[in-house]
Amino acid sequence: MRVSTTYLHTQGVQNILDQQAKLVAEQNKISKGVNFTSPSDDPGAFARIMSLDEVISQMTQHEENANYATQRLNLEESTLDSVSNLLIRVKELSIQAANIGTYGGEEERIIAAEIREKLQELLGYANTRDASGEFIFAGFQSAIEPFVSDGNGNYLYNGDQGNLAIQIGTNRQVIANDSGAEVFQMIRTGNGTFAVDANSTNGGVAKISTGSVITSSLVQAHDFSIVFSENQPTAGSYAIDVSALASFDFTTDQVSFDVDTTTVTLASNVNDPAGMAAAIATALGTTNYAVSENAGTITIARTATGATSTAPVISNFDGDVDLGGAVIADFISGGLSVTGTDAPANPPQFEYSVINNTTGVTVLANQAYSDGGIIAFNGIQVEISGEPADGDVFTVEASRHQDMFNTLNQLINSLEAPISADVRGVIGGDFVNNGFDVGDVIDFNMQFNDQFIPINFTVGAASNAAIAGQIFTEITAVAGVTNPDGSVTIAGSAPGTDITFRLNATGTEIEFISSGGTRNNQNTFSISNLRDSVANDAVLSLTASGNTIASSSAASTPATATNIAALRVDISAGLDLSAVAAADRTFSLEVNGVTQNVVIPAVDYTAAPVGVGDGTSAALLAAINTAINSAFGSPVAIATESAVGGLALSTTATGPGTTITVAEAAGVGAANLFGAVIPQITVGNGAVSFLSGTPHRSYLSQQIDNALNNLSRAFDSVTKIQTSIGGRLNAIDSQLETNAAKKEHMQKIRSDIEDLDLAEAISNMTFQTSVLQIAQQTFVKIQNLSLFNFI
Amino acid sequence: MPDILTTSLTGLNAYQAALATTSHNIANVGTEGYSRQDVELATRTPLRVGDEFIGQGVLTDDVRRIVNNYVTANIREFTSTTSRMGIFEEFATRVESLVANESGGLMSAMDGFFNSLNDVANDPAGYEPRVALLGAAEVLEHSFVTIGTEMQNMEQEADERISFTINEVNALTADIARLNDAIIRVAAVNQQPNDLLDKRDLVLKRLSEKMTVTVLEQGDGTLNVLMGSGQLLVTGTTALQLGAQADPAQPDRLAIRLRSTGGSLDLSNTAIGGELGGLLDFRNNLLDVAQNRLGRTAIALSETFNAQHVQGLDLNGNMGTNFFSTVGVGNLRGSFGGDYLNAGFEVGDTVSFDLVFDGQTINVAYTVGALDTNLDIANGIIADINANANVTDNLDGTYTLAGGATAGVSLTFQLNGSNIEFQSAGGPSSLGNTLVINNMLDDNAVGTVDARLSLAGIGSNSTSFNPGIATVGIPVTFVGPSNSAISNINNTGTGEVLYTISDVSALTVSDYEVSYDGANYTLLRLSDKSIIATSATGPFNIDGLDITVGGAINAGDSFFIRPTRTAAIAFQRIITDPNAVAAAFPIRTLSSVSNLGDVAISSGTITDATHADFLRTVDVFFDPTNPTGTFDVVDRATGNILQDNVAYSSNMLVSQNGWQVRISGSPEAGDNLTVEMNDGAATDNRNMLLLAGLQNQSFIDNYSASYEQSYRAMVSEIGTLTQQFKINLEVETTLLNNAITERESLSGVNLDEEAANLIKFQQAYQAMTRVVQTAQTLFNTLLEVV
Repeated sequence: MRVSTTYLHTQGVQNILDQQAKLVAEQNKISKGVNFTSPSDDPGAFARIMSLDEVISQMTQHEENANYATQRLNLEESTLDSVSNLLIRVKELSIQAANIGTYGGEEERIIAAEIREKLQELLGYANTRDASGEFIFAGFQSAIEPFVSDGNGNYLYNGDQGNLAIQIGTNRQVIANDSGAEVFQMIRTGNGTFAVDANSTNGGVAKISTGSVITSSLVQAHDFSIVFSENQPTAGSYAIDVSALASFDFTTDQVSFDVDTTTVTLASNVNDPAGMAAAIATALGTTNYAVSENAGTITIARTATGATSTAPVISNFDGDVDLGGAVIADFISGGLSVTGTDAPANPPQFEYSVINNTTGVTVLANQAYSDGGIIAFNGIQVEISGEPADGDVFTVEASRHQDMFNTLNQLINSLEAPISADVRGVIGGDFVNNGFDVGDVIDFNMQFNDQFIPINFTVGAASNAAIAGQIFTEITAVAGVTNPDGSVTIAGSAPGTDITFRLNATGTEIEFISSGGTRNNQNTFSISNLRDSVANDAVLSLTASGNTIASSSAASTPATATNIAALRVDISAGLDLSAVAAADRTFSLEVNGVTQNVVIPAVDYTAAPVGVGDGTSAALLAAINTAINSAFGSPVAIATESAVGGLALSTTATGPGTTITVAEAAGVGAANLFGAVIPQITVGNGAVSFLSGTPHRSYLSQQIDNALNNLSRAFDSVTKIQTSIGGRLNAIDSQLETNAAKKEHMQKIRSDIEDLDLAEAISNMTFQTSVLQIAQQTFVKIQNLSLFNFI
Repeated sequence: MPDILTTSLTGLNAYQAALATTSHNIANVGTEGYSRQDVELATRTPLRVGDEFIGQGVLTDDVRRIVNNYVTANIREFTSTTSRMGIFEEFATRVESLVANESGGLMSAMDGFFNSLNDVANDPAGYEPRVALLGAAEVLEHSFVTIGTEMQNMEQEADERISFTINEVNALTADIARLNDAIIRVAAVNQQPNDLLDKRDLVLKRLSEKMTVTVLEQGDGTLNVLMGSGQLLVTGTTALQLGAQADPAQPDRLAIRLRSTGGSLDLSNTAIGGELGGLLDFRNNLLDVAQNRLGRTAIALSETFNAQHVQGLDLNGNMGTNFFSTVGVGNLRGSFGGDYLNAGFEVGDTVSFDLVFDGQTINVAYTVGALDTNLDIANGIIADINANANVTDNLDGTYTLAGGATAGVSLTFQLNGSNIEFQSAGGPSSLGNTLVINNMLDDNAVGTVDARLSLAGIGSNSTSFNPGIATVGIPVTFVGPSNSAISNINNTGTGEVLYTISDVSALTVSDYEVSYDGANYTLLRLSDKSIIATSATGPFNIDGLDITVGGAINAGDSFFIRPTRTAAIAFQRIITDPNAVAAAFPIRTLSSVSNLGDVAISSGTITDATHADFLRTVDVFFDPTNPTGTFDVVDRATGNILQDNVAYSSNMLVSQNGWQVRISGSPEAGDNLTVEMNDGAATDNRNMLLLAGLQNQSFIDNYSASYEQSYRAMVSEIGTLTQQFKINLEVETTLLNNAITERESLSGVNLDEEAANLIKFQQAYQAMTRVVQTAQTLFNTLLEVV
């Protein structure tokens, strides 16, 4: 073939250029370390690399996410560790407190103080922030402090129940937080199904066990009360067989006994069963008892309905002769040696009823109580052990959620300042024999904490039941709520406290019981300012009931006055407005130990009766007030219209030690006092007060038990969440491992596709370098070959 | 004897010519396109002397150009193909490096963006991750815009190259015509126009670099040049001109036309070949598709991301707004009313109608008073609009129908004269905004003429469709938003074609053409040149596009739709407040602390954001007064029971107000579960997780490709195409080289050969001079003898 010189030249140059281009390409690859530099070099491989890059980028991100989740979970876990240690310590302290023999001592306060510290610490844990200042237990609302106190011992949760999920794999998320609601708040009380408690007012020392579920299918989430009542030994009527006493002569022997609280005295000349029955009936009255006789057996039956079906209690046998023997049976048998003594003290027997408070249905009625026995209902069972008191109430409620803070707080409160117990007592007794005479105007104040209940009535009949009824009517007149069972509830001045009054079974006494306690303050019930308009000889007894509530002053005898209201003395009895005033009227007035004569100018006060009730003149009131002011130099007492329609003087000072007495002025005739004799009236003594005590130690024990239960559940809850966190951390770890393996694999594939085999590339380059050199040398050689060189 | 001298003189002349030709050859050894020449020597006609013929010497027959026309044609052909591929490769390689840039490319921007979403999901309350997210979004925006802009620049550059090349072609064809002319002249004086022929061949070769040409040799030595597709470019001494003009269908780009006296011929659909063909190939086959693919990725990303983002709740306690600009969005802008008194609003008549927008209805009823002017009536209608509970008086003469069924969509009314103008705002582009005047009634208390209301559009990009006049029983509809299709320059009608992207997943990477033949509208998909829909009225709802036609469209009018072309450039992050990133869900759920039972509620999902009412607190309440095992769904604020006595089973779903929750466990009577507005939920990342999860979801191409897959497909396609061209280029280059080798071996000058010739011809010449000398000696001898 012919070869043109140009071709020879250009071909030679082209060869060099081609080789150079190849060399540059190879050099490019080596310097970048890759097999190809643009998609067109290998479109398929390039697409795969881009795809791998996306996956690897995501995996790297998922690793970051996983590390982030781990960080969060680690913080939470370490916080929960502290929480669970804290709970363990509080449990230890609770057990320690439960083992203290005494109550209300220094030791308890020290423990309470430590628990209080722990409560603050716990609050700190619950409000933990992460490095960026976000609250970790606030759910989604991490900018808001989740747990705050409302100032009343309750802790409010401001967060929500949101969970932060973190993407740790393409199709895998892990929850990186637990909400405060879950960790601290949603903790079931009791055993998780139900929670037991004893009323703080319980008089007995019985305790209720945590209980357990027997048949879960029967369990309803209802609330129950187990109510105890003390049972009398026998029920129905009481029969006395006196058939053998036909010839018994009471002329010389007199026998008395009490039927309940009424003393029956069989007087002389009663010597047959019918006569005896009639005498007993007369003594007891027909209101409450029915007495009958049949074939020598006298039956005494209770006629009062409602409150109890127990038999009358016959006790306190007494005789003025020594009849010998010691028991009622002796008397009944007709033996001459009967001596009346107290009936044997029957051991108290208790029965309980279980009431479903949710439905109002009584589930178990009047079950006999045995100490430590199982009480089963609603698919669950509890045990109550120890001796209850009449009216004690235990609750079995469906398990609620209670936050840890409340559990601790309640524990602290129980230890540190127990809720005051309720006052519980009886007013009354034998009115008839204690100065409540027919026609007397009785005036007194009852006071529950700061709430006054004024009583003012005129005794209508010489019957204890009637008088009690009148007092109860007065109570009813005070704005209270009449309950379906006839009792009346009046709200106390302290929030959450109220007091309920009711007539006792025989209607002769007034029972009261408060409900709701104030913290650090005892509930107080007192009677003061008792005034009897006639002889001023009325006495009221105030007795505590419920034998285990310590009362600081349960005496029915007059004690130091605790009046905090003005004392008022009624001088209506001395008024004689019809008399024509001939001279000044003078009487002696003593107020708080200072005595002065008060002189009322001689004016005819009937001349200007001004519309105050019974015609008492406003001018008279003004005159008395002016007179007192001038006598004492200050208005120590003020004349007022009496609530009962007369004229009264009230002290302006109040408080303990306040007294006021009106009497004849020394040396001044009674006639000078409005023409009538004014008795010495003293007011200021006779007030009794009754303070509630602190709950019984068994109550605290119950509270500690409950707290321990709740603490256990809190601990379980924390442990459960910790376990869950552990699981999540494991999941993250395994995901990270999987990720790492996958990523490595991907990177290897990527490197296989993209990375240059350097050895090969370098040898290629060496080869190409030498080819280039050869091409260059060849070019020179060939270009030198020219015929022209030889011609 | 004298003959010897004559004969030798012919020899001297001949070898002089041979030597001259050889030196011409040597001199032109470096001349491009030069074909070596050769002096053809022939013996002169011998002299008959008696019976003998005595040679008369040598004759220079011809100076021949050594060429092979077949080889020349081959070279032209291969030059044309290699030029086409070469320029394609040149441009394609640039696109390639643009889209495949590893460190600064879109892939890493997307990865970075989605990783940033994860970072926000990890720490939704943190400010820094949100700032970083906005930064990553900006990088993403920058990547889209840069690549999109670069592609657009390359399109312009290709256009410039086309127009430049056309000038070159025109110069070359003119050269050919001139050379033809010169060749005729030279040939006319019986001279060989060898060098002119070489020159013409060279010009032809240059022309074939620009475009494929075929050559027809004419008897007179001229050449006719035809385009590859057969159109004549040069005839004899006249050359036709190519022109670059705006493409009538897409006036923003050039189309090549062949100008002739009778007009011009569109060459858009002809195979031109050469650099011109390569540029067109690049523009039409690679760049357009790449731009469309990129645009589709941008649309899919912005649309789907926005759709999820607006379902979330941001740190400011507001529902999320669009994160990225929307590509297809447009707003209604139009007016109705005007001259009521002449349109059946007779004094005493009561006219009522409904304005329906985005699922909401405004009732209007107006009784025309005796002294009412058109303005009074317009004011009356505005008063009725304002009376609607969902309309807010903006106190500046405008009234906004806020919060339609779709979050963020509103329609604002304003009085302009007695016209009532309206304009919509907001809304994802996938939802076409529509205003309908419906239920038009006229009680005709006075006259018998039914009231009419005319509805018209305002502004060029919101032309109304089915606009016109609402009368009793005939509603009118005003549809927007719309992107205008490109109206062909040659259209004679004034109508418009509007389109909206309605379904991102169905979107293709094709362009479309709507044409009207006087009876039907035809929708042509340009990627496969298939007619995908025909309709006498439109609209078309196909390939993820809602296309409406309207106005006066004449037969022969056509419209070009490029739904995805420039979307990448329009891609824009519009959220600027880091706290406006909607990471949270609008609702949260909780179970009451006082629940006795163990009943749980899931965190919930959003099922229907468009009909949602997340502000309301809703309780799932196991009312103790209900039959056992049932619950109520109760609106807490109003106490309204939304769902009554629903039978409970564990693990069941409860839906309300656009959300859905799963409830499970064993409830007790009185238990309560709550779904409430999720305000203050700084650490909620549920929406962010869904947003981050979009990375792995396939939205594109009928739910077959994720964002990045879609982008990769584009890169891969570009790579494959480029590779294909590269390989073909190598093949064609080899062929070209072979042809050149062939030509060189035939026509090329070899200096050694010429040197040999030089010696040969020199020796011959010297021999001739010796003959002359001999002849002279002979003469002298003879003369001495004489």
